[in-house]
Amino acid sequence: MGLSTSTKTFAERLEESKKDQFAKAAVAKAQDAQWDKRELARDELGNWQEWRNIAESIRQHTLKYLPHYLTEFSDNVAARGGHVFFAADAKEANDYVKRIVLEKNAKKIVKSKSMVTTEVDIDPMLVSLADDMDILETDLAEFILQVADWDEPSHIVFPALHKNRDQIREIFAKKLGYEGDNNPVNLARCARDTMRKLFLKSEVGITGCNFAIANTGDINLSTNEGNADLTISIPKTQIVLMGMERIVPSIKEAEILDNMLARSAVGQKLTTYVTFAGQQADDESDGPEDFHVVIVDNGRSNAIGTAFEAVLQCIRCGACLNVCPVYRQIGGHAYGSIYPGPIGSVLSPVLGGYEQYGDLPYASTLCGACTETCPVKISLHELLIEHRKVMEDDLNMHHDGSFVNFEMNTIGRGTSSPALFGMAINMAHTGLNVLPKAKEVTVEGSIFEYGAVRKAPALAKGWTDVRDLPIAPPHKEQFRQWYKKHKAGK
Amino acid sequence: MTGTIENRTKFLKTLFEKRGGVELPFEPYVPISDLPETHLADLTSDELLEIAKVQSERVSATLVETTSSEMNEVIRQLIEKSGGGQVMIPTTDEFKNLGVNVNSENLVKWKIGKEFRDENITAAQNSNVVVAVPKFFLAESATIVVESEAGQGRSLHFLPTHYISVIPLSRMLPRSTQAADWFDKNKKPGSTIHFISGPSNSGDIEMQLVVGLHGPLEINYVIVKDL
Repeated sequence: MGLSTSTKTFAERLEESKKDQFAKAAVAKAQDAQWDKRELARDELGNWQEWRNIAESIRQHTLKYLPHYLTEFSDNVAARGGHVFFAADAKEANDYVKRIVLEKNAKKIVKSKSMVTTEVDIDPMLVSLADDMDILETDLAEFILQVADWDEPSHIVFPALHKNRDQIREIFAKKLGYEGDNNPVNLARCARDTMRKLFLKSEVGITGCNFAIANTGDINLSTNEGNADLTISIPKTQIVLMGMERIVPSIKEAEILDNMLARSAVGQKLTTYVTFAGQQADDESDGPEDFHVVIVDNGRSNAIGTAFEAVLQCIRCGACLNVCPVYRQIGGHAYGSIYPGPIGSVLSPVLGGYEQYGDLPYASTLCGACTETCPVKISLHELLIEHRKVMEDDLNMHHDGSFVNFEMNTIGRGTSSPALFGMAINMAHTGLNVLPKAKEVTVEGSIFEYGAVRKAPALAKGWTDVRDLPIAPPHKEQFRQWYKKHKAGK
Repeated sequence: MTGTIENRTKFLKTLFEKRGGVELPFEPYVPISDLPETHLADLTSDELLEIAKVQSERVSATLVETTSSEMNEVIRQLIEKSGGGQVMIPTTDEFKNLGVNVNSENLVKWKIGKEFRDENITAAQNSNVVVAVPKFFLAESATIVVESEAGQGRSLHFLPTHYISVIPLSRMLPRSTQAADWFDKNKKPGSTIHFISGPSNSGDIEMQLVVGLHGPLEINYVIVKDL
């Protein structure tokens, strides 16, 4: 899978998303539920804006001195007997993990949820190492996706949001021999029993890393299920994959960010499990005897020294997805990246380039809700505009013979000429009236007073695919005419 | 014991070049606000306990208040309520120092020594109940904080089905800030710290909360008010 989750075009993915009514309803439900929980958790804490300032200052400081903290962290891991590998790209990260797994001759591997392991596409590599390789995604949502033939995630925090309980029951029945009902409690117990057996036999544990603690060489993990804690306890070998930016000076700063993460991601004060761990201590009998950390760049350094550096402040809470009106309409799969929503629209082009992800910065209304909710104060909507500027002004993308270029040129000429603009406004009512209509005249005074277009071509098609386009009033009823007529003294 | 570091020089060179070849002289992080330290810090022990009670309910944990003289009976009752069976306890001085005495015919201890790795993990897996004492209890989030050591491994806290945490009230702190500050100054080299707030849970199926997934299905906080 890697960063990309689809080979289809953005338009094709949008068409597919529009058809999946369950996923759309699930996203809306998740957004509404998370809104209530998140805002309550933030209100209870109080002084939310000051907390955001603190969190932002920690992330900005760490990024400013990133080489220092990466050096300090890796020195501390090594001082305790651990191993650190700096991977420039996905291939280097995969090759290192492969080397360790082969050295250990490991066949039973457990993984706890990690976006970066998905990003570097580690699962297919592991599966290819041996016919009898047992890989287990231990986060419940990731486990569901794995059992469903490695389906793609649709949300950063709730990856299986697009699957309902009936679909999950059916998958478990087919693949795990589950005979129970569709009650989530029973489905979860089935998953627990299946996974516990494999946990106890596991040889290698692979985790992500919420934050690396520079001054101790520990990694910090936050989960509600406890799967990460089992992954760092039972296997004799642990491999951690972390984005290079996921680092903080000490446990004190991690604690602040863990609070911000839990409140923003799931509306909790802390996630059920917040863990700081590393190489097994000399006197411990469980935990990893062999501890490896793979620090991954994989395109992140493209942001360093540019306007996009702020995107590396992200703590992967997913709050921006949960407030985004576009994500609500099109869902996670439409983005074609494992990082969907506003953060994905900023991050994916940085990591994977404009050729593949250039459509995403346009998948936004620029309403700024993402920026307002971000716990580390990333100006996401401004970075989306920045991507557009880079593509249009610096790289001259779309400045060719494409229909988009023709459309934008036409609109540009029309809106920059008062005469043409006035003519277009005058013709709007007549022009729109020739298109297929959904509504005839409705309530006087409403925006649909003159009916609505059901199906429009070109640029307006995206609008009419999902909603009605109000027909503009006739020339004599338009605001400017109305104002002239009703102007004081006339 | 020293590990290895690979590719660091090349990796950091890339970052250096992306910064335009400028290396900033390092300055440590200076907090911009004392909000984390002051939030809830002025509350009394009774006020914090009230917060903890409300929060325990919210995280699906059971909180019981008791005294040192009643403590062992409360633990016995909770074990019975959990269905009895094998009970695991750590091998630390805490139980002796606090007077914790777990009465069970089927009691196992976490054994000290690397050679007991498999035995300890198997014993934890086969235990229906674990009884342990946390380093701290955080009122705001109803969180117990435990630190691994030779007599108390990592998986002791996660494999048994029911968890009983015996908490001296004197170990209650307002929030995670104070615990993080303590560990920043006093953490044992190489130890693992677990902040645990209630039983494991998941909302991954249609956002419906399911209590009990990988970790314990149930957690009990026994607050001992005179310890």
